[in-house]
Order: sequence, then structure tokens, then C-alpha cells
Amino acid sequence: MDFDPAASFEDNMAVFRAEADRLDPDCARILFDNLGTLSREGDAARSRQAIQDFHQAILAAVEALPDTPTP
Amino acid sequence: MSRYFLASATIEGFRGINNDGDPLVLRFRHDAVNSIHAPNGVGKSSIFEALHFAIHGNVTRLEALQGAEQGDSYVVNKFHPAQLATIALMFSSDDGTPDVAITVTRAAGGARIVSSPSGHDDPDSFLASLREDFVLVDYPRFASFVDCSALDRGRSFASLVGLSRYSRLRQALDGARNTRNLNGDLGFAALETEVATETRSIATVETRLVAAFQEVTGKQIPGIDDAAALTAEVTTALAGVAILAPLLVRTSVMDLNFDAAEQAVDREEGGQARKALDTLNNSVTALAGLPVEQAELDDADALVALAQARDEAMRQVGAASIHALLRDAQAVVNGDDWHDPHKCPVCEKAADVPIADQLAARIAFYDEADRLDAELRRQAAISAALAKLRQLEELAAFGIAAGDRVSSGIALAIPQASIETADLERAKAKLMELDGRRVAAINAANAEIVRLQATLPPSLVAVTRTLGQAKQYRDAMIERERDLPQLNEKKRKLEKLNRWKTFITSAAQRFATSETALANARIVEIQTDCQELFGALVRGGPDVRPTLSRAQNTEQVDLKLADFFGLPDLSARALLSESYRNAVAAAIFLAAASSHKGVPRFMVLDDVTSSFDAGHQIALMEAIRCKLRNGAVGGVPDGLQFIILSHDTLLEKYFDRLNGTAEWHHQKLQGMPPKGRLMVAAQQADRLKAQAEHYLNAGQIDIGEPFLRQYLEYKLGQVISRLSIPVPPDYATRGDKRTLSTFMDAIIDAVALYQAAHKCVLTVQQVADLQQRHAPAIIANHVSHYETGAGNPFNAYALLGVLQSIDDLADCFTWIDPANQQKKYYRRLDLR
Repeated sequence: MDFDPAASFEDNMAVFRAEADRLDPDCARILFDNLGTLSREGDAARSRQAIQDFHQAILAAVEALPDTPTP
Repeated sequence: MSRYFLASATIEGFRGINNDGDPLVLRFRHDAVNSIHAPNGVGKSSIFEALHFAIHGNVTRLEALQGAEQGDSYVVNKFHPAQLATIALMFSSDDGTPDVAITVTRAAGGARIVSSPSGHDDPDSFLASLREDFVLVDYPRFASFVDCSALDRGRSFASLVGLSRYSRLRQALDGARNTRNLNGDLGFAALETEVATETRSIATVETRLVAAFQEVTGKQIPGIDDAAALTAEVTTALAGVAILAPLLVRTSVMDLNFDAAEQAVDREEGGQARKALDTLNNSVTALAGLPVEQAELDDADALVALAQARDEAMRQVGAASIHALLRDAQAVVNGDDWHDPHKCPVCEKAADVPIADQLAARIAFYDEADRLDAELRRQAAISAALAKLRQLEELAAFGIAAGDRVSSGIALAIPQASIETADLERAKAKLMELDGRRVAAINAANAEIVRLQATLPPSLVAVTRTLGQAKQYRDAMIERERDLPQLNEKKRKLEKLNRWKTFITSAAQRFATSETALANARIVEIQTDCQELFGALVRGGPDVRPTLSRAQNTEQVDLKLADFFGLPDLSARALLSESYRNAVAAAIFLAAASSHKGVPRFMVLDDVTSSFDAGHQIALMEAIRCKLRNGAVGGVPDGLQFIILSHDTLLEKYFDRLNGTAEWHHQKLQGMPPKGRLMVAAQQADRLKAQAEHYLNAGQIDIGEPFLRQYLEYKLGQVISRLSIPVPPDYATRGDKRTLSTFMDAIIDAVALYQAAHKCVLTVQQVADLQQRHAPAIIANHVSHYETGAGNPFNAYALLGVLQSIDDLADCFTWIDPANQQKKYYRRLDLR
């Protein structure tokens, strides 16, 4: 995966999303559904809190994944 | 993609800017450098904060306050009657796309509301697209760039070159894939331990179940999953025993009353021998289910090897206390107070290589030890060898007291991070010893079984044994059916979590790799421009060629000097003076901003030249004006619009000199924040006079007098500027010089000088009015009292008279153009 220096952040995020979809589309959907929580701005303590909040959401979302892993 | 300039900013009710009903309006030219000058305390920082609040949604300084200080309550001006902050921004595109108007409001205690009077579909997204970190730069951000750590610099650099959102996301993804966070937040370690322990437990149960099935039925078990079929087979086999058959009518072995069955056997024969035989059979079953496998011995060896590796890493650094010492020393060496990078802060001896590098290497050893210890604890928690040891030590047959169990000691040490290598070696030895005792105990029990069986009737021996095995079967089946669903549920959950872990680890790594490549490309892109710009800023100084380099697989950016008086690759942070360090930062910031191709095409600099001497200040301004500015002839392609906020009085002379040219647009702020109005002097002179008249006519002298003073300062400054009247160069820097009397003296002295030389362009009447009427009236009725406190207090009528005298005094320097009957200032004191 290569980011295009001339492209906008949003365009390069689309590239990242496509790469994530190739890795595991279900997990990619979960990641991008909760990306706002994860990338909340703040100092170190607030960033740690953001990761904890993100993981809380991940726990619930991962639980709802189908039992058979998507290849 | 359309790029946008900032065309205007209209601010009311925000921070120090009250301007109730009469907002401060700042207009900016896209093809000129826009400078705004204001003395300290007049509201310049409020303008910068207003732009930051509008674009980023926060005020950095207020966010840094403690919660109890309620920073949010200081966003809205405390004296604004409506308690409403309003910031209206107008953006003009560089490609003819219609202008975008964005208004951001915030009521006291309310939320920030974004709207677009021009009808932009998504004003929030538009503002988000402007959040490149070079757009709003103040001095602290500027000055810290060189002095911060390589990692912080790397992150600052990312933000500089428009990669801050990449950097933040990379950090966030790193946090999401961090093993410690995954273990803690998602419960990975605990779940892995539970699954490993319960899997072993179920395996033991299944071993018992299989053995019991084969014993009762005399058949090989076809498979373990069809519980109903297995139970039916066992029930059928048991019902084949005559004395048990009546108890199994319309019921299965799972519901058999074993007490009744044993009583039935007792009734047939009775005696202690049969009970002893039953106990021995159970004991053999239990012992036979706990053999020590080679894999478990290998597991024990692996734990010992891991512990030894941890010990070796620990030995290389010493101890935890030494680690703390190294950390403290590193903080000292990286701090502002330590200036010799080769000198040790502990022993003060000099070293050949920088102490910081040595400390980092030593600390890395400890980090390795820390990592190995964490891995050892994780492995110990799920160790099959230690689990088997615990089972064997808990066997009643061995009679090992709880306090003597090796496995208990290790279990206690795991959460306390104090697993000793010797304890693990002892655990392995104990495991082997107990396995030997286990085999011996089985042999002894089997011998006793043979002896007892010889004393009992053969048929009842077989019945007793079969009944015992049937009971084993029932207990194992109950246990399995109770525990297996829970274990499967946990396995299912662990599988999903592992799927997530695999995904996020891989996704974060790919993002990091791509982000690194992007940052390196940006470094290459700006390196040459940056070095050229630095050379221009410190013209005449050494050409040290600041060089950025980003370490592989990290966000750290090193800043070295490629050529320091012939010495290559030395630390910029260690060697450069503050002014040079800031020149490096300026070169990097400006080179990065100029190469940016995103939505914002403007850069706001707030007092960034604070540490510069006059030469560097002017060099920076010249670089901006002649090279980096949008529209500069021979400048960089896609130059930027610059908006420079400054309180520097010397720099303002430069601004004044260039003001009104095609390249420069200067505005001077006047006002009385936080209660009064803040205005742009050139645009608001008439309003100053109107405000002064309004309040003085209403008898409100305390409010009207400051407007009068500002009006007087403006008009005197206008006369001085228009007629090029010289003023003492140090008036702004000497504490004993007052602006109003200095201006007045300069004007009167200059007129007297030109008059004495018979060169004065003013009419005789104008000179007489100036010297005998207007100047004395203004000085006596206002300037003297204002500056010294002497004389009578102000009264409204006298001040209204001063207001008229101000205009009359200014008129002394004008003439009427007969061509159009317009009043014009003389060009100089000797020239119309």
C-alpha cells in the first residue's frame, strides 16, 4: 500500500480502507465504524482513554462477528 | 482542488474582544503580506485564538487549564452583553470557485455552532480541511521545534508537512495494536489462560470418561461427542449385571442411584475389602489420568530458558534502581539545563560519544528485560507443565501440604512479577519426581487390587469394579457436559479476538509503513528549500545546512547540521544559539508550508520572531515578501497568503515602510480590551471620533476620554506619516518617552525648523494656528493631564473642545486642491 503524496488525506484514507478490506472486510468495517473514537485528539491520558473506549466498542462489535472467520 | 485564502475575519464577544454590536473587522489581501500590529494587551492574541477556535474548535491555552479553573468559561468575553462569541470568516478561492463564508458562534456555557451564510453544504468539513498545522503558528510552537525530542519533533514535523492527521492516526493505531493494551482492554491474557487451563481440565475429564467407558462396556469408544449413544451403551452394559438390572429399569446410568447399587452389592457380599477395592480403583484411575508428557517437560525447559534470558538482560543493566537512575539521567541530559552532550550528569566525566545515546542503549537493555519478564509471566500463566505440577501436587494420594507445593509459590509470583529462575528449575525437578511417584503409586495400587480381588468372589469383584467405573463415567460425563459449553464459548470468543488482533496488527503496520514513506518523501521534497531558506535567514552566518532524517520504522526525526565548520552530522539542538535554532525552525516551517498543496493557502504567524534579532527579523520578512508570498515575482510556485501578528515596535517600522505597496497590507489595532472596542486604526478613526463625541455629550467622561486619546494618537500619527516628519527613533523603546507628547513635540519642532529655514509649506496662518491655538489647547486640556496627572480633572466640555482642536490641528497640514476642491495633506513640510 502506498500513499500518494499529491492526494488528500481523505483519498489516502480510502486507499488504507481498501487495504484493510483486503485483510479482513468485517474487521475493516469495525475499525472504520469506530475510528472516530480511536483518533480522538488529546494528551496521553486522554489518548489512553480513547483507546480504552475504542476497545470497549471493539469487544461488542467483534462478538457480533460470524463464527466462521472470513477468509 | 480549490485552495482558499482568508479574505476577512469579523470578531465579536470572543476572549478579549468585546466590540458589542460593532465587531472588529480585519480584511486581508491574498496577494500581499498582511501584517497586524498591536501593543501588548490590546487583543492580538485574541485574534489568533479566534481563528484557532473557528478552525480547530478549541482554545489551546484554555484547554491547558486545570478543570477547576473552568477554562471553557473564558471563551466568551466576560463583558459582552449578549454573552455570545461570534467569529465570521470569509474565504476566497484561488481558482474562481465562489467564496465560502463560515460563521462560528458560541454562547457562554453553550456549544460551538458552525454555519455557512454563503450556503456551503458542509461547513464543518470545510473547516476540518483547513486543519493543517502550519496554518496557525505561534511562538511556543515555533520555538520548541528544535529543542523537543526526536519523537516529538517527528510528530511536529508530520504536522508541519500536512501529515498531522496521518501521524495522529498512526499513534492511535499503534495504541490499538499494543500488546499491553490488547491484553488489558480486551482481556486477552486472562482469556488465553482460562482457555488453556480449562482445555487441559476437559482433556483429563475425557481421559477418565474414555477409560471408564471401555472398562464398563469392554469396547473401544467410537467417538466422544455423541453423549447419548455412549450413555446408552454404558447403561446397557451395566443392566447386563443381574443384581444391578432392577435399578436400571427405565433409567440410564446418568440417573442411577449408586448408593442403592452399592447397597445391593453389599447385600450380596458386604465387607471392607470391597470398599477398599473401590477406593483403589478410583485412585488408579485418577493417577493414570495424569501422566507427565514429554511436551510438558519441554514446556518446563522453555520457561527456564526464558527466565535465564530475562536474567541475562537484567544483569546487563543491573537492577530496577539503576534503571530509575538511568531514566533520571536521561531526563537531565535531554533537558534545557544540560549543555554538554558528552558530559555525564552523574559522574561529570566526559565521554567520546553523546551521553544521551549511551543512556538510550542502556535503557533499551532494561526495556528488553521488562519485555522478557512480561513474556515469562504470560507463558507461566498458561504453562501446561505448571498446570500438571499443580494437579499432581494436589493429589490426595501424595499428601503434599499446601504450604509445601512448588506450584503454589510460582502461582503467587506470577502477578507480582517475581518468578525466580531457581523456582522454575525446582518445578521441573518436582514434576519429574512426582511422575515417578505416580507410576510407583499406580503399581502399588494395582498390586493391592490383585491381592484384594483374590479375597473376594470373582463375580462380585467384577461387579464392584464395573460399578465403580460406571460411576466414574457418570461423573466425568456430568463434568464434561457442564464445562464444555463454557469452554467452547470462550474459545469462540478468543478466536474472534485473535482474528481482530491479527487484523489490527497487520493494518497498523501497513499504515505505519506507508506513513513513513510519505513522510520521507516530504522530507526529500523540502530539504533543499529548507537549507536555502535557512541560508537566507542567517545571511552572513555559517552555512550549517540543517538536515532532517527520519529513522526507519519510527516517527522520530533527527535534526543534524550537515556542515558545522567542517564537522559533519552534529546535533542542531546542541550547537545552535536560540536565534539560529529558531531560524532553523522558521526555515523548516516555511519550506514545509510552501510545498503544501492542500486546501488552506494561508499561514498565520503570531509573534514568531520574538527571539530574533532585528537582522533575522527583517531577513525573515524579506523571505516571506520576496520569495514565499503569493504573487511574489520570481517567488515559489503556489506561494502563500501570509498574515503576520506582531507586537514588535521595531518590526512595525518595517511594516509601516511597506504599507500601501502592492506587496504589503498593514493594519494597526487600537482599543481597550476587554471592556471597550478593538478597532483597526486606519479604518476606524471616524468611529473613534464619533464614539468620543457620543460619550462626552452624554457626560460619560471615563468612557469617552480613551476614545479621544486614541483619536488624537491616530491623527498625530497620520500627520507625521503623511508629511514624513522625523520622530526620535527611540521614542517607542524608552520608558520616559510618551507617545502623545513625543508626537506633538516632533510636529512642532519640525515646523519650527522648516520655518526657520524659510522652507515651510504651511501658510503663515496655519503656523500661527498650530503654534498658538491648537497645540497649546490640546496639550493644556488633555496631554499634560493625561501624561502627568497634573492640572484640573477632565470635564466633558473641555474634552469636546480638544476633539475639535485635533481636527483643526490636522487641518493646519492640509491644502485645498483647486482642481477638485478636495482637502489634501501636504506631501512634506517643504512640499505641497
